[in-house]
Amino acid sequence: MVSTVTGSAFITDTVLYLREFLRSNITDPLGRAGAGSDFVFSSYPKENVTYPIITVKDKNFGPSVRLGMRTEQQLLPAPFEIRVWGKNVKQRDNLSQDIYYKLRTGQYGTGSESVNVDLHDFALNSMVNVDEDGEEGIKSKVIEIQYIFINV
Amino acid sequence: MTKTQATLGLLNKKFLTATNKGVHKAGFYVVGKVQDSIAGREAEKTSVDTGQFLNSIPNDSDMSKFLISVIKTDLGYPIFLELGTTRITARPHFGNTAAREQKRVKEIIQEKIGRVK
Repeated sequence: MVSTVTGSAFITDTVLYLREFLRSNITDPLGRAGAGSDFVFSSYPKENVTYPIITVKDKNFGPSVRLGMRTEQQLLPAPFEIRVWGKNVKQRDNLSQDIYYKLRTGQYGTGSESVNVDLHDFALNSMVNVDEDGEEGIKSKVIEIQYIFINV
Repeated sequence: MTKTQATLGLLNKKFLTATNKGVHKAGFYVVGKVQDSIAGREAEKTSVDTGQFLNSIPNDSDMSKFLISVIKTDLGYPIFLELGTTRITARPHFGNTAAREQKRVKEIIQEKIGRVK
């Protein structure tokens, strides 16, 4: 698990943190575990997949805010996209609400909560449904979250 | 006192009117930039086949809304292009344009406000 998000690798560190956080806190409805049978990915997998899956990626960053005159420190709003892909609406919605709940309640504590890895002010920007046509169409929900990261 | 209040009220009205004009001018500007993105003149892939999507972005920002400029399409399928599906990668024409043009939008509105006397 990422112990702290560093200024030189804030995108990769945050994506890794989110991926690992979801892996340890969200229960896979199909009970998959171990190498090669994961259900949280950084991008949409190229191989055939078994739904549901979750993808985590960064979104458009900025603008940053300077934290004073003659300082190199900056406050950076960092949005990330967590997308749930499921075979049906129930699967999609159950996972989505669980993700939001776990991220919301996983901010403060003594373990690997988001504030402890220097990701502050968790916010849910939006949850948008993108359902492909037809009964067999994959149902997905795009969850955009945002943290505040301070480059120190 | 009454004269000062009246002057401040007038100035406030002028500022709000200028801001509203700035918001709508910025709206027109962003519409053009979204269309550029759809047409392939930005980093995103071209999303023009029949031209339906490109022509569905209204050129006229909605002037009836105070301090709000809406840039949208009424078609159903552009959300699949914007966010991607299992078969196509995302072409975020609206999202990327918003991120790219934030600074210019602020400048356009500031220019309008700066002219208030």
